[in-house]
Amino acid sequence: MKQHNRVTWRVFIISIILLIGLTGCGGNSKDMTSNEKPTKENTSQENASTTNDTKDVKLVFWHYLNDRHDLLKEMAADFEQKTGIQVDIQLFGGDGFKQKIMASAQNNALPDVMTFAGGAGDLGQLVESGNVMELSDMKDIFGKFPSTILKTFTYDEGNIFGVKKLGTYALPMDTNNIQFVYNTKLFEKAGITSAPTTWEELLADVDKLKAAGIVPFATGIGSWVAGSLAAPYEIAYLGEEKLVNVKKGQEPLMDSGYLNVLKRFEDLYKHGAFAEGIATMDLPTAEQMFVNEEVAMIYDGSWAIGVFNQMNPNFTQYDVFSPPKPADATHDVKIPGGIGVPLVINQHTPNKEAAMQFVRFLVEKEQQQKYASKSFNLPANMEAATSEGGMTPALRNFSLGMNHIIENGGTYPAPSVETVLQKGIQLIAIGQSTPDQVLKEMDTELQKALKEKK
Amino acid sequence: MDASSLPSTKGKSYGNRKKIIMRYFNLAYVLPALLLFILFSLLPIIRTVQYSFTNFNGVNSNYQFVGFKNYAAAITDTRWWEAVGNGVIFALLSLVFMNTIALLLSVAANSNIRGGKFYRVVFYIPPILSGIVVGYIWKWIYEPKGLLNGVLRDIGLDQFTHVWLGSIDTALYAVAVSSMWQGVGGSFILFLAGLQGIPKDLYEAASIDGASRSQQLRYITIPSLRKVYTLVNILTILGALGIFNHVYAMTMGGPGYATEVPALRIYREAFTNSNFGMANAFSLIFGIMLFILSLIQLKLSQKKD
Repeated sequence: MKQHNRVTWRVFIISIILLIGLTGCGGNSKDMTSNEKPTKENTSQENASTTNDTKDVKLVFWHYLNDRHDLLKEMAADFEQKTGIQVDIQLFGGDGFKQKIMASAQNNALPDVMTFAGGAGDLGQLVESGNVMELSDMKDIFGKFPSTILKTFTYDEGNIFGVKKLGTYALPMDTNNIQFVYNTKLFEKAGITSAPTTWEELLADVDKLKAAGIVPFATGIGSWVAGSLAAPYEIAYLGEEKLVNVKKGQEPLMDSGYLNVLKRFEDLYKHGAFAEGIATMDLPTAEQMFVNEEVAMIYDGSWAIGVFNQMNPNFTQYDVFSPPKPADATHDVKIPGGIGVPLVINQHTPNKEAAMQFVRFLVEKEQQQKYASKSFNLPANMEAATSEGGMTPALRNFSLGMNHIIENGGTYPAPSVETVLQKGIQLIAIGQSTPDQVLKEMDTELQKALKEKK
Repeated sequence: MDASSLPSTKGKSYGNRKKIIMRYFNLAYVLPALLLFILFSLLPIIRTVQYSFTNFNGVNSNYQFVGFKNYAAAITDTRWWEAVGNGVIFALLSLVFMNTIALLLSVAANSNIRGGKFYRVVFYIPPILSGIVVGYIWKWIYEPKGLLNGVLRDIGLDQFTHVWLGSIDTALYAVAVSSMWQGVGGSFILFLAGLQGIPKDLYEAASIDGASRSQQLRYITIPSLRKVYTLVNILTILGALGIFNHVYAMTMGGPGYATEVPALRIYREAFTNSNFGMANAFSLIFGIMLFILSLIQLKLSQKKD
């Protein structure tokens, strides 16, 4: 009997192990099938949806735009009234939105339509895994957007991200760029009559503000903003072509002039420009300080106008200036910008037609005008952009900034180099590291990434 | 063979079969739990091991087997070991301060003080809050113009105001305080349960023998709580080394690498650097370290017993 029991148990345990093993080993091929080819179930659902009355369709739309949630719900209601298609607008605010998308993509759990958070390299991963839809079926509306903007998420032959499934995978809901925003009242109080146009003037203004007891500058150096603040100076010192080559590892980073980029952060530290707690400060904290008039300048995106308005509708005394050019920089300063909010459709949505219809609706002229006037963001549809009137000086200057955006700032072979840069800037900003030290660390990480890529 | 024995053999065989059927039938009771365990614990662990040997980026299923490359890179990564070091500091601070405070609070709440039940509830509120929420509350407290500096200014201690989270000297300890504030309630409840299991006669006998309160604590309470202490220590070490929410909400690992911890590094590697293979290797190395630590702690306590 004991012997028999032992055998029974062994058979049971072996069966469990085999079951686990088979499930574990079989996962990969299953993933590939589900990611690259629509399943029978999906296909049948798609066919059904195209033939069904769209009134039965309910789309799910994910976004991260805290300040535009009500507006998007309003637009979805208008869309439902017009088409009968319901749209469930779901907000996932905060910095983790990109991570949510990536994690959901792994399980084919993306919504029908979503705003994408991340760069072209990130979207490229979703393209390659077959999670997002190519938008050539909507080619008729491509002409409504600035061509440079549309290029951001268009993957051509030989693209730097190695995306093989060529095409356009996102349409812009708005455009944006990042510049310095300053409090005109505090500048006047410090005896500064106009915005700085050179780096040297900026430092002089910092000194004047300090002398007047005003904290000069805050931004989200504790988050992604650190890299964006470095971007204009990467272009100014290296130029676009050299910068791309350096990031690709085709030219050495150490002697590229990148040290000058990092030295600008040291300048700001030495002049006492930064607000207390800058090294771990996120952008919302800096925005709150700016609206509370606790700091005179912030480095922020065009979307900030909407954020400021939401925080305090009476706060309007501010304007915008482009990152000032240092005297020793050999190239013009350009600013980060492009698609503000990219709209992406899930490849596996059973409601493809309805999803495309909703995206078309969001980018048509009337909706874009409404979006721009209510959210203070720059419209992506040029028809709406050219017809808008009554813009504030800040919005106008942000709008003009679209003529000076960085077209190709290059991409490091691994995001870890950007992380080292971001951490390095944090430490320079509090005097705990030097530009030389940070550059060496970046170079070590870059060489490691290049080696791994090989 | 005696003919009379035939029916009894038949009966025995039937009984055996019935027992076997019953055994399988009993297994059916544990099957749902077993399947859940396999699906949500065992299978992810197997997948973690599988991915740790690949260059999986998190979404593209066309990944390659890379052997021990991720492990070699993880072990030689100095930033990773700095993060582990920060985790160890969290664990040590929690072991020393959090558990001592929890023990003292539980002794106080167990004595016949007025409102003892109220304190039991109050001390257990922080652990039921979300770590992210607690992190943001403390971030606000630590801000340059936040509550802590405000209080220090109000009581004339301006010289002690500080940029708590923005300075590499204090950021780690500031985050540790918030984590301990939340964790103290968990240890408190376990100690309290342990205290309530100590027979009252021991205290009465000690008191008749003239033992003071501190002597009772030293010679009765603490030795009787040894097993609870082992459990609390293991949970504290695991919790402190695995800290994530507080760091994510308060500093994102900054300034620089001052508050970088293993869980945040794993998260960053997976979701920022899109390097799931490496993230899984880090996870396994870290998991093994925690397992060994728990085992040592357990063995040490058994030895003492």
